[in-house]
Amino acid sequence: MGLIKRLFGRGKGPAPPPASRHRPIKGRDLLEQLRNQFAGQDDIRFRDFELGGWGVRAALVYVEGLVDTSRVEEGVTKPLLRWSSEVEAPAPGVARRIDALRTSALPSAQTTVEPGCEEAISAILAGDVVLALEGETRGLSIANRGGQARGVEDAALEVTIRGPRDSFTETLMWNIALIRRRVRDPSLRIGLKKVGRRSRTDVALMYIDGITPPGLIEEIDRRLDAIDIDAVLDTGYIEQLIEDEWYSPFPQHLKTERPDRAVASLLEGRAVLLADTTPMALMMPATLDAFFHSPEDSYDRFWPVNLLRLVRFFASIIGVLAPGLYVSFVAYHPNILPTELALRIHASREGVAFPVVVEAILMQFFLELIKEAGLRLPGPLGQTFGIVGGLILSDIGIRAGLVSEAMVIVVAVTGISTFTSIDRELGTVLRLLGLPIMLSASIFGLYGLIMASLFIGIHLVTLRSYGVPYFAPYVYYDWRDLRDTVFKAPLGSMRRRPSYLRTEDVQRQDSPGERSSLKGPSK
Amino acid sequence: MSWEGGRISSYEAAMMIAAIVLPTAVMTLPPGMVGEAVQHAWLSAVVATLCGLGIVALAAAISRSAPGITLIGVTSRHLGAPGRWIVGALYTWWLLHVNALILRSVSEFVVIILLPRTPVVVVAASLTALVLWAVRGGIESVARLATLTLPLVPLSVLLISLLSSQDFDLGRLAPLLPTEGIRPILRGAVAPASFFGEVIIASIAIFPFLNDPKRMLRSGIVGVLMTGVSLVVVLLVSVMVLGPASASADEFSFIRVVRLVSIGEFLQRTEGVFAVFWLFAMLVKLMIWFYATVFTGAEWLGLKTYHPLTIPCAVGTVGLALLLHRNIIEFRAFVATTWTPYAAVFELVIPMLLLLIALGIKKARERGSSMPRVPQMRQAKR
Repeated sequence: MGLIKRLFGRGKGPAPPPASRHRPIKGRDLLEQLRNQFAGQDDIRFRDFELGGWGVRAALVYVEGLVDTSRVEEGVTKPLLRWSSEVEAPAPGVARRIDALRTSALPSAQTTVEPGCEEAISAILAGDVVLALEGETRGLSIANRGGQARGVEDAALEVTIRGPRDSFTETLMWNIALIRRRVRDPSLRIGLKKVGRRSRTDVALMYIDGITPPGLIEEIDRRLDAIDIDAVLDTGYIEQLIEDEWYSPFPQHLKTERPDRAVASLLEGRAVLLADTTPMALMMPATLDAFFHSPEDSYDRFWPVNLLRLVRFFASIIGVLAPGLYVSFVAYHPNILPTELALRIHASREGVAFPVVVEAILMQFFLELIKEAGLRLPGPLGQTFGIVGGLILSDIGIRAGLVSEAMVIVVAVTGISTFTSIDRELGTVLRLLGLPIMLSASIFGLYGLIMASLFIGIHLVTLRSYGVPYFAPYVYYDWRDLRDTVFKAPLGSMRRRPSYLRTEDVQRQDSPGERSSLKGPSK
Repeated sequence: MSWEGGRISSYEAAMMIAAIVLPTAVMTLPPGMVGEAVQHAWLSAVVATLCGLGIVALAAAISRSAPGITLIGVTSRHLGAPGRWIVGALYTWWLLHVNALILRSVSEFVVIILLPRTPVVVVAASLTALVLWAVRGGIESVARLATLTLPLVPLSVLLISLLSSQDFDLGRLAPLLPTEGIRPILRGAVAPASFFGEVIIASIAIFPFLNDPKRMLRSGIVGVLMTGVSLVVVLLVSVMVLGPASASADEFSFIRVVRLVSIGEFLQRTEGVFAVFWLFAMLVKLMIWFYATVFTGAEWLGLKTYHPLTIPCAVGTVGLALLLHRNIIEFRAFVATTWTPYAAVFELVIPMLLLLIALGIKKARERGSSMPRVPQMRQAKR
């Protein structure tokens, strides 16, 4: 890995000073500066008017489409015009005009004095309305963000049967509100930051003061500050830039579109990162185990959850190992299989032209092909295509002697297994890791399979996400952490937060006193 | 405290100490022991375990005298740079040599059980590549692997013993207590004792990194007892199932016991699974030894980190593993004759002398005599 790093190193040159990115803006006052800056940009509106009582020319500047136009007319333009026509006092000194307007003319709650042109411009571009006065270098921004945005809808990717349905949307403040609604705790902290030189995307880092270790927040802040990129169009950009190990195939952040899952991980002691225009929250640090936990697992009683988790766990092992195991059994160790099964597999491979590895790669390719094509085709067509394409391709493939029946089963099981993964990306990674394991098994048989899986296993136990071992809690820290892993203990018995997250407040529940005041019928 | 910066818990340490001897004890030792002590081989195992406990206590005593510092560090503290040069060179060689021997025996096992037509060099090289990959992650990775994989071996030994209980022939153990004197038992204990003595490297690669130095002895005892109990169980079961004659004849006698186990019609040929678990444990053993080798080498040469040594050391290990012995018969002859006194020097004599010197210096200092101040070892920060 050292070599790869040297070849494709991070290559961080010294960052250019931020001021040089924009041309200096000319103009005597804010109004003129804004006019110069936005010349020829037709979506920027200048609503000119005169403050009658003062005899001062002014303009409201905003981006059409980012503000709620009717609310601007009702809540800003009208009161301003009415107030200025009624006011009889002479205009105060230039320095106090903005403050006077702010305190007495505008009903809006969110007004901010912008000290200069740069700030005014970024407020306008963020969707605020800025009031600029003649002869005044300061501006007044009035929050009136609106325009078109997708509302809060059902979770589309992480579907559960039980539990809340709402999911994050593209609007950051709504997302924050979705979380805030669930934790009415004043110690829920939100740190806002702007990331991206040109996109200036709002990024919110949320954590619970008193649970999340402060070192973690400092580390995340440090990594966020180190980002120097043009635009952040999705939390995916941030994820890739701040993860610990760039070259690891394993995702090192948990992702969710569900506010309830985000809150659950906040309460476990993780931090949650949201970005504007992204309906996906990042949660960190990540452990491999957490990728197998569905939010539903917390809502259902523990017996059914244990079954489902076991299924998911084994599915992922099958997804990684099944092709490799099949290849090594068929090509090297048919004697390990029960005799009849070995004979059947041998019979089904009768007349297949390729060696078993080639067959496996071919079939895996078919699977990915159908999956990818089904994804690109619109809606119902994709589903139909998946079923028909899968059936026909595998059937014809068998008859044409390209693949054997057993191989179709193996690859189908592999594919289905990896689709049980809670995190789509992890499922794909598992299938991807199956390939080198299979290739190694095709060269060295079972020994190659073991070597390749150990290679990945060693990487897993070495990997850390924000200092937390990725393979925790299976690598020993505290036996009590094993209560919420592949197995889940009853909710009442999980009194502590995971110790590997090193939370400040360890206790989740106090030990219940008398659990029931109802006694059995006394005789 | 050390270059490593890694810290391991006492549980991890116990598993690592078990990993130093347990895999070899379960697989390669029993035939020779049964050959010497026949049905009393399990008593030899008890004797060997006691020796192992003694050595681990020695290792713990050395490490306790200077927490966070390895055997070589202790040497250089008490004997200065010349001492470090001599003892460091000796230990680097010994560790490298043992590394090669372990690598050779795992590779032979893999070739015999899994890959009958593959050259040993391929297996040896691929195993070493894996070990390199793990050691690159530092002692913590090795420790985590040990906790994940090592328990599989004693657990599967117990499970196999339960499953093969239908084939137990208790008569084969009779007479239970020695009738022809204690000498055969002691002779049977010589080779395993020298293997148990390998736990001395706990004072090189395990104890210095323990996060709670007070628990050294405890985790050492747990690790050695785990090994001892597994060895006793393996010996008893192989003798009861196979009989002393065939238990001593086969290269890997326990694999034959495993082969006899079958549950119903469908769960046959469990030996593949056992072989895989054993391979895991053996790899962890190899990693610990390899780590000890490069770390000692780095200390000996006064390097700031062990990383530059890993690849040369890996190449050397593979080369030695292939060149030292022409075939497995020669290899076994070496283990049977030369190994024990050779190992005893490094497992017992040098550490004992070191401990005596350390205690002597301490005592002299307590008496307030005018001993020259002991030069502190240069501590490189990570």
